[in-house]
Amino acid sequence: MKELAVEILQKMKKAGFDQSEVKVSEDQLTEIQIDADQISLMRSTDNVNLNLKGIRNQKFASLDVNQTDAQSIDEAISKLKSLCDAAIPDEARQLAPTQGQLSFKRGEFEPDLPQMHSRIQEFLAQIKKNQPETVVEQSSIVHKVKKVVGLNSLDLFFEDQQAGYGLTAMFSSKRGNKVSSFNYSMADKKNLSEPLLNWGDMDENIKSSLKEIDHQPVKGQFEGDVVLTPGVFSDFLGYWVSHLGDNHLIAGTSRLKDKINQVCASPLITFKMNPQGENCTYHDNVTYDSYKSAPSTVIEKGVLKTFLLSDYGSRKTKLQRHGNSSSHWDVEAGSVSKKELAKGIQKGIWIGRFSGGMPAANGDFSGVAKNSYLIENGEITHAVSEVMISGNVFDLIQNVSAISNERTNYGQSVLPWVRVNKVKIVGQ
Amino acid sequence: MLQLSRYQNLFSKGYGEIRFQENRDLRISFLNGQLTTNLSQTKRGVSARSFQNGFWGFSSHSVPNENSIEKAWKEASRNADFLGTRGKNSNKLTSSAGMKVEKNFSTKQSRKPVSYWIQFLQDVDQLMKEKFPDLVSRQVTLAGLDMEKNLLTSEGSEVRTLVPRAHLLIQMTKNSPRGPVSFREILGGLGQPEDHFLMDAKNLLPLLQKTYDTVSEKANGTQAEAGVHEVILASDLAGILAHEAVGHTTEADLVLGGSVAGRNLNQRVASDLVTLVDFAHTALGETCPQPIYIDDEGTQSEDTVIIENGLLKTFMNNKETSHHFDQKATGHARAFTFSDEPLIRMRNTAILPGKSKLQEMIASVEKGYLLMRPGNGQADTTGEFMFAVDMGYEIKNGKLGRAIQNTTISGVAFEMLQNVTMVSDEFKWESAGYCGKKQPMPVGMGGPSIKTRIQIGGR
Repeated sequence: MKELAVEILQKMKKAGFDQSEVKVSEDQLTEIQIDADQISLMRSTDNVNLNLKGIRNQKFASLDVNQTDAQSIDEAISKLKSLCDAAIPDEARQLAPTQGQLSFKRGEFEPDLPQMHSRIQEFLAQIKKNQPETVVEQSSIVHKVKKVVGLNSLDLFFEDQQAGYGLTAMFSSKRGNKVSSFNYSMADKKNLSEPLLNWGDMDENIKSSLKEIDHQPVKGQFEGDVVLTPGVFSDFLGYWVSHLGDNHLIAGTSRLKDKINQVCASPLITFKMNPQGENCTYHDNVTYDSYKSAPSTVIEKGVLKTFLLSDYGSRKTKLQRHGNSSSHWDVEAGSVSKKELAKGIQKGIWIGRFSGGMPAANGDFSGVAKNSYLIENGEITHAVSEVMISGNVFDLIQNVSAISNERTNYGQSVLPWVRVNKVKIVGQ
Repeated sequence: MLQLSRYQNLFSKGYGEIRFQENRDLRISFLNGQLTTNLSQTKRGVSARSFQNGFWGFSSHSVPNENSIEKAWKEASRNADFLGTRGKNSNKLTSSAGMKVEKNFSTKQSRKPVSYWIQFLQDVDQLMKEKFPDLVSRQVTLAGLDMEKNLLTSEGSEVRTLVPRAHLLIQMTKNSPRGPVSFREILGGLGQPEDHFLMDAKNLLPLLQKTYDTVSEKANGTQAEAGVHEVILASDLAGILAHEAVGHTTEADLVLGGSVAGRNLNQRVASDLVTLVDFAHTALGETCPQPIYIDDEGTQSEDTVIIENGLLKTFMNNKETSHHFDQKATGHARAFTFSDEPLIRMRNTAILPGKSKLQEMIASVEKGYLLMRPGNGQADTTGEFMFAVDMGYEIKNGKLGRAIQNTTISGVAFEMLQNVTMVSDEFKWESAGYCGKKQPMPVGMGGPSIKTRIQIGGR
């Protein structure tokens, strides 16, 4: 891979780029799939990708191809040159400088096929034994190998090789004519030492599916408190975080611009990005724009500490570049158990999954509370159907009133349950 | 493209297929006058899939040559064998007659270089800047996807298709007392950029003005009132209703997973005003946004009438579920890239037009909403669906009132469809959608305006 990257970089230099960069990546995937409670398919794929970036006369372009023969490479370089020449000059386009020789290696690189098959058979058997009314829909266990070598004309060099396992399961439960909403769970692990039911929130969500067969509508409309499971909290936090990135800040539409060192979230929230956390199956060692990743604190006790700008976004906005582009989120645990989060809620909803429209530019959202439960007088009572919730994401993150001391480790992010005050709940 | 027919002798046992595929993506985007995206992507490769003893094996390689085709087939067979030696599966496939199909929807115009499109987008951006200086942000994007496939099956089907699509996305954001408000307009459809956008940017002025007027109305608009309301779902929305509310629940793999449609076959699930079809390639005399003549299992694509005058008639099948449910396979198996296995997918899902006039429908609503533009959506095994609505108006005493800001609507599909009381005589396709189901997939969605009752999320 390195030889190929060197060869391509030399060709790009000769082609007349002022700055050039190449990333050669190889991905291998081995997957066993389930369909409707049965193992159905085994899939193995390999793919090569060349990502070329070039700058000529301050004009930038990027191109991806997955062919490595000399003719395809020559054609790709020629096309990149055309893309560059057609672009608009922009001095904010720069490539990453050298950061020494960066080399990373992590994980088990050979898939343990017999063990993958055993674990998934065990998974199906455990669910059938414990809750025969649950159907495991399209689901899979996958082993991934990701290798990448990056070089550029500013003497950047990095190589990163990683491997791990991932599990995605989708399921619903059925009794007679009644059926639960589907739910899903995803998690990554370094190896197969643990049964799949122990991964992430798999066991909890699958057990809940059974309780959700008997769902009932909720009457009326009211403002109440809700408990968000880690996955739902992640959905809302994800939208909030998008206002810290290039698009919103360059466009000037971010609701969080000019808010550094100001209180933007509940003082209970401390939120870090941990690209090389020990809990993470894969490490985000290098950013999308080829900088070595560094951990960061995004929110400290409710105070916004950083934007999440790329190098380009940083130059466009004249704000500081963020140290990583990691999806490894770590929200610190709180002080109460997740069961206690429901205590004190007179009437509210425990939200297991949120099926909602993309929030509006101002953060307003609405959607359906799925795999969710009514809370009355501090107790979780029954599963609900046809309940919508609405509010504003920026208010929601401010209105977090308690955080659980338990957290779910998804193999990339580690997140708690949270209680949020003042959410509009609309039943029938 | 490779000549795959010479690999027919690779197929020795069971059912098999070899597919060569190349996806070509182009994306150019200007944000507030800055060229933020200037990207070209090509993904090319070969895959093989083998069905033996009730199990599937699949393999793919990104370098398509003689060695990789044979290697992919051997690995696919080995993968199916691996599962077969460790378990039993009695699943069988419906067989199809081998067919030879060649369809190419690439443009007949001479191709323009990227520089032409960058200049075009820059001109569009400049027009927006000059005409609408109070916008907080303006974005114009050109997106193109060419999907080229070459398929060979053990049943003798040999297929070559090129189905491209191209879209121009214009997004404007304006400040309002409640913060920024956005609206997006999308043009284009089947074909390449030359089929839709060979024009002077000034020709888009009426559309830009309409987009600006709409975002301004939204900025001054109100939030929808939460609860169940009488609504007119405009023709822009009917397609996503067909796709999310009904389509997904009738995909046979989801029926096997417990979808509510499973127990409603041949039952009344909608008003008799509702007929819902997943079209293969031609609808109402015109080529659909995603014309599929043969699917990725070599099955001839035919229109699938899912609901006929309110009765649920069939599911959407691949070869395997077709055998399981004893229903005809009508060509729904599709894969997004060369390295993806075919899944049951919708193609062009639409509710057929009725006889009412839209103005009569609006006039018949005392208090409710006209809901006009779809955002993202999601279906459920229970039939409970939701999708975002990016634009709409209040209706009071049969007349349109204030614009509403973004909201979400939800309902239980077969209950909501039974409440349909009027269906308009117009029809509109929405062609820019991607359906998400393990893999993304371009789909067409269409329909008329529909009057029903639905739950709205709001203040």
